[in-house]
Amino acid sequence: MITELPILKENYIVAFQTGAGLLPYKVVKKEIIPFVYDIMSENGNLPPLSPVTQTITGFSPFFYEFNTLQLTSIQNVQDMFSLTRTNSTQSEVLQVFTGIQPSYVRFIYKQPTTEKLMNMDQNINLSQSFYQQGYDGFISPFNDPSPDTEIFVVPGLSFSMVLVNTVSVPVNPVINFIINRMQVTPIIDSKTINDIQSGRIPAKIVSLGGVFSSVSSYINSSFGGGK
Amino acid sequence: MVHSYDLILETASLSGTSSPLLLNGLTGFSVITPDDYVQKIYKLMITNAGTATATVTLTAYPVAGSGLPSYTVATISIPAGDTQVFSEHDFDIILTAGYNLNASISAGTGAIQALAYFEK
Repeated sequence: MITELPILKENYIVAFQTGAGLLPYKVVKKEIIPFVYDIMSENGNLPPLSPVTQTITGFSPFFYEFNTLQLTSIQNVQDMFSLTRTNSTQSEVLQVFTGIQPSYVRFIYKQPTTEKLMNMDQNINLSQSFYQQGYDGFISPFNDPSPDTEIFVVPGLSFSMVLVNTVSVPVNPVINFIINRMQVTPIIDSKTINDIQSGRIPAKIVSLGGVFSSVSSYINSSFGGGK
Repeated sequence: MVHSYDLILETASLSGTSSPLLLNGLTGFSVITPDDYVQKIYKLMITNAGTATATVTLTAYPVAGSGLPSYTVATISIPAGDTQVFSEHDFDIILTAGYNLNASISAGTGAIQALAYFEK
């Protein structure tokens, strides 16, 4: 249920850890957007995912990497999570949760859109022959997205995903995004930033991208990227 | 809790030969229980198109080359010309990894439809 998700609210502080410093922002306004996303249809009318470990003619591969999440059938949007609204005083940020149906489909995020999250050392990462990582609809049901699936989008840093069909029949996955669209304003006072880092001022501190990937070069400079 | 979007419709024509129930809706894929899952039958509709009461036998049938044994999971008597519907409350059919559901009828012909789902 949406009410059980850790939705950021007005006046909350969110601070993004980018690998190149902390970027704190205060939430000015928010708006919740439930968004049912027919991912195969919206990405060029792709056919259903093949049964696990197979690529069958007329079907998409069972393991499918999306470079961006498109909305081609309604607006020809090439990346629905691309944000451009940013300046030195106000920017847009998205807090996103993902549920999926059928429950048999597993997903992981890509952020930036070229890098899979949830990589581990020793080259342990989701692939065609190793698809044990990620969330499925049992963990994050379509109608009840899990708080664990939280991901943030900031100007310049979008996300995409990989889907894996884990069962022996073709499936046509549909996604339910719960999107908290926020207007945020930057916190630039150094004492306040220090207080946020030390914990004296409560804030939600969020990692962007993978643990060892630096995403600062992707973030729009007016939002704080390129530091 | 079973979600409607997780249900899979499987169908087969019934004869004296045990035949696999196949995925209905996209194409005729065999619905083999994948690793990490069990397959449960949620609802079952069986038609006896013959002129005599017949017994429908449901068999857990292993994927070819697995070496697993086949075994009977249910035998159901259906009167001539009748269609009967069963739900999870009437039976408990669970297929473990590597198994498909097969069905046959002791006399005449018929049809079977099953709504199934996979569970972890």
